[in-house]
Amino acid sequence: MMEGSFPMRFINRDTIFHRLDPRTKIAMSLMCACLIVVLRMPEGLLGLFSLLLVTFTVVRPPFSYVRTLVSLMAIAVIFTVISQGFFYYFEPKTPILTFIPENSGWIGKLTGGLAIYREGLIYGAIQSLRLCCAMVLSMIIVITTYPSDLILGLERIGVPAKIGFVVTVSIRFLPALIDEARRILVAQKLRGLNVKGVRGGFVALRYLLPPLIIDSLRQARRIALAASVRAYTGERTHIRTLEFSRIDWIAAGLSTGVMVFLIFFYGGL
Amino acid sequence: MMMNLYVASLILVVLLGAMLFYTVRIKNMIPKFSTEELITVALFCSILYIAILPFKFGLSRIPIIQAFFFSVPYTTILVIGVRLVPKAGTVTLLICGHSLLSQILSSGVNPLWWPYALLAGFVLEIYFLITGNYLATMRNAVGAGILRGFIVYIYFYYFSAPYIWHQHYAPWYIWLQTGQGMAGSALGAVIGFYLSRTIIQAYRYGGI
Repeated sequence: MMEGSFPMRFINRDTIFHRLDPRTKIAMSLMCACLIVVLRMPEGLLGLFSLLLVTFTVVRPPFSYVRTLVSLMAIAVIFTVISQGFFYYFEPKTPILTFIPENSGWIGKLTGGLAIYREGLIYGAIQSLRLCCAMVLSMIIVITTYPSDLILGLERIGVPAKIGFVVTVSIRFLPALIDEARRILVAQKLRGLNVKGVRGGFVALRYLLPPLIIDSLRQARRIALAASVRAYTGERTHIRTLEFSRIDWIAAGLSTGVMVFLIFFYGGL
Repeated sequence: MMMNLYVASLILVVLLGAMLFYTVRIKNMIPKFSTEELITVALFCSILYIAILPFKFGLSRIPIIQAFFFSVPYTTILVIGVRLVPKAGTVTLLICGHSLLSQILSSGVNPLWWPYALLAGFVLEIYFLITGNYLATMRNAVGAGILRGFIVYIYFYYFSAPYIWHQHYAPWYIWLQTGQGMAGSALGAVIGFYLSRTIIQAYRYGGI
């Protein structure tokens, strides 16, 4: 059931990235996030994107994941190119298609004219690489790290235990919730509820949410009772312990080196 | 210059958090959640995740109208959640828990998004502290919805988009999106308030 609900999820494989400590992956994703922000030159962004793609192939994703990633990136690139083509911020800019001239009534005055600029399209294509980098990175993290390990890693780097507990319980709720939501929707459709279109969506919200939440609250009370009788106080112990191995130090060192190199040659604050 | 502005926005989030913590401490309102309340918050994090799943995979990139349609289900569930656990800290726990959940499950852990979630939570906490009301009235809920819509879209289009993703938008477009976000959040708050009545009655008196 979970498989159909999430386009991406953890895949149990034996690759070098699966063996890394979750804290190393969090640190690497933080470095990558910094690079996404500070890299200015297209060559640097392209370099980062290529590195991430190589990493992505190393974790051996199934074809369905590659297809999902490509379609997500295509959407991101298309909309970024179009939006930045319209809203290009810098000068000079060359209009290649004018929709609303600046002096055409109140819409023209309000918007300052609406046109697609050549430089904007190029700028959008370059900037969409940032989004693509973030998407590839997220997919690598999601398919190589089991969610509970990631939560444990986050707790070890200082995220409050209560937030960790909330996220752990949320993940456990998800399959049951999706299953229950489907069941309620089928029941409502059998009673004649039309959920098609925007209006149908709002109507579905009205008929789906109360029974779904009330039923889930019942389950929440049961879980709370089970936690209380086990003397849960907010602090948890974990069967799995995290330990930095040599491979983690090497990965962290390499990532730091790549980050410094890219910032030094292609970055700028 | 760009980086400085983004860092300034981070400092603002930290200051808001510190101010909030100081006020809550002075008023002796430091939240203590029972296990049942924590699990209820977790349940709402999951519902938030499911409700906006369609937006994560494409719909949120549709220009012009996305802010409105994104805001309605999000605010509806947020309002129901806060009305079920009406105390300081609930809204921050809900928003941050949901943000972390979606990062862990689908978008990858990206600390650059954490200030965005914290700001959305802190602003609503301050609003609740000032009004002394945790969505007990429809007017308070609509006010919270409008405030949420305003803050998250302004922050996204004036700070996150230009300084993280290097994407720029015309002021008229930013205000169009913000206006839609405010309208969608207000509508979501109305729907959430209306739906929560039945749920609260069932929760308190229905033997759940």
